[in-house]
Amino acid sequence: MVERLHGLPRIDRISARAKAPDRFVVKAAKLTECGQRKYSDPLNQIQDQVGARIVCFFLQDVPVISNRILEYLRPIEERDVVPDSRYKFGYFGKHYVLFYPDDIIDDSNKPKPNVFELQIKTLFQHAWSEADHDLRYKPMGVMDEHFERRVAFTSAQAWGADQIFRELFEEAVSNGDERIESGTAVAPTHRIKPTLA
Amino acid sequence: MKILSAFSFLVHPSKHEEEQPAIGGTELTLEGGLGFMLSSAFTKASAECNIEIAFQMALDGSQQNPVRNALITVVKNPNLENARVLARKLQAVTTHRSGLGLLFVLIGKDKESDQIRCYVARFPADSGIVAEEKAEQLEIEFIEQVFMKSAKSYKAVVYEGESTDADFWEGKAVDKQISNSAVAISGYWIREFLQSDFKTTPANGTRRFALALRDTIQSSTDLEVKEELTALASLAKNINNKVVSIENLGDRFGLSGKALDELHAALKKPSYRFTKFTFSAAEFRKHVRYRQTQLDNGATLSAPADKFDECFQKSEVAVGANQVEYRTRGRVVNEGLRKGK
Repeated sequence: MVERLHGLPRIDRISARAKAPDRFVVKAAKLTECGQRKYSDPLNQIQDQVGARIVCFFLQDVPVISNRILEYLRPIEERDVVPDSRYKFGYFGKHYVLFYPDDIIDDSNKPKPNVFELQIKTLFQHAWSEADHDLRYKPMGVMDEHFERRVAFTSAQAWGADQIFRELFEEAVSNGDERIESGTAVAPTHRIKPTLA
Repeated sequence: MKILSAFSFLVHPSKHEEEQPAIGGTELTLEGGLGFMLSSAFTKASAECNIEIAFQMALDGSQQNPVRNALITVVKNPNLENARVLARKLQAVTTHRSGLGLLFVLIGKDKESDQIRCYVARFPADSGIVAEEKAEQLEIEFIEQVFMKSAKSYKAVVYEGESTDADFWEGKAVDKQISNSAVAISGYWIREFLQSDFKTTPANGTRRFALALRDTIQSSTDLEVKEELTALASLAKNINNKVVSIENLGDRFGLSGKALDELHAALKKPSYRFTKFTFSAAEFRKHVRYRQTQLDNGATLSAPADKFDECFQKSEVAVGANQVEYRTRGRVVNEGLRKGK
């Protein structure tokens, strides 16, 4: 993925992970609203057993990265994950379910399912989702309305920051700062850091 | 693997017609010559179908494809009506140019594993002559609506899997019309009927080929192989948007056996030789930008790969002298010094 995204500016990090067995078990045991098992065949139905994430600086970078990824990988799903109401704040992100690239697959032992999940997020979307995810897995007891409202508030703050940075970026570019658009103004420490979790 | 269910439908060309004609179909019992032919085709399907394809997701990005859904329905519940849905989809995209066709839908299951195979094939209609010898006589009859597997426009696809949730997103097709043809030829079977595309994207296939080409030129110790492959790099711009495989690129450009062997050896997987993809000149230029020739007098000539032969005119100094002369003409725009390797 690092190779395929070579040359694109303003990518903060690219990471990938295999789902931890305990997290898989929790997900596999999930029930629907009617109390039925959500997954009848979790080993085949759960498609984020391998997940990858690309974190970028600005909202404008998300479609650029998406287009580059789709040049090389075939999708079976593309989703803009947003809260289910315009009045809510929560998780935001661009998700794909993609075929594994052939180059990394052993043809005699193909993985099942033959797809992985890719998330493309801005720094603020990523920071919020990581903090929220960590909170949800802590043994804190009941998360009441006040708790949820404060979590939503932080999501709104992150969303707002993304919107402002989008406007600032557009102003900077229209003011003729070519370094911003091309990414050459990025400080050298902001490099693509491939990590395996 | 044994065929458990087999269905056949006569599919008339009806693209753009407001009223689609009814489709005659039958469930087959696979006896005699027909049974033998279909069983043989079914068994060999994985080897014969060599174009890797994948269903396209819905336009809204959801994990839905109506042809895949129809296929899953037939796999889960193989009956005439469920199989007829596939025939209707084929009819709706078949033009008069493609003509009448006989569609077969075969479902099989492996006894030992839970592997399921679904094979869909279209035999085009043709006319033919039947000759029958009787004693000292020969009876000849002209018949229409003969359907032949060996015909140039025979098409098939096979899907295999155990899980109808996880599997059956990718399949393998054969389309005898795809050789050196443009993308439009594969549009009917793969894109319009199966609502699929080549599993290897243009950028991915082209990148794979470009890197193999570059690596081979770099590592080969045979000057003739290097020359053949660098010449190919110059000509690659002429195959933009053509459906190719690394195997047929060798045929198309008349590569020697030695050059082909070295190129194939540079591929990460042997199967990449046969993988079909649409060639992308833009992607190729990213990886094979410059062509370079070095002479024994210390001169190094460099130019964009697709313009090298325009920039430098090459001629032999004298027959048998094993020396060449390069000529070029232009205005000096830059000069510089480089450190050695």
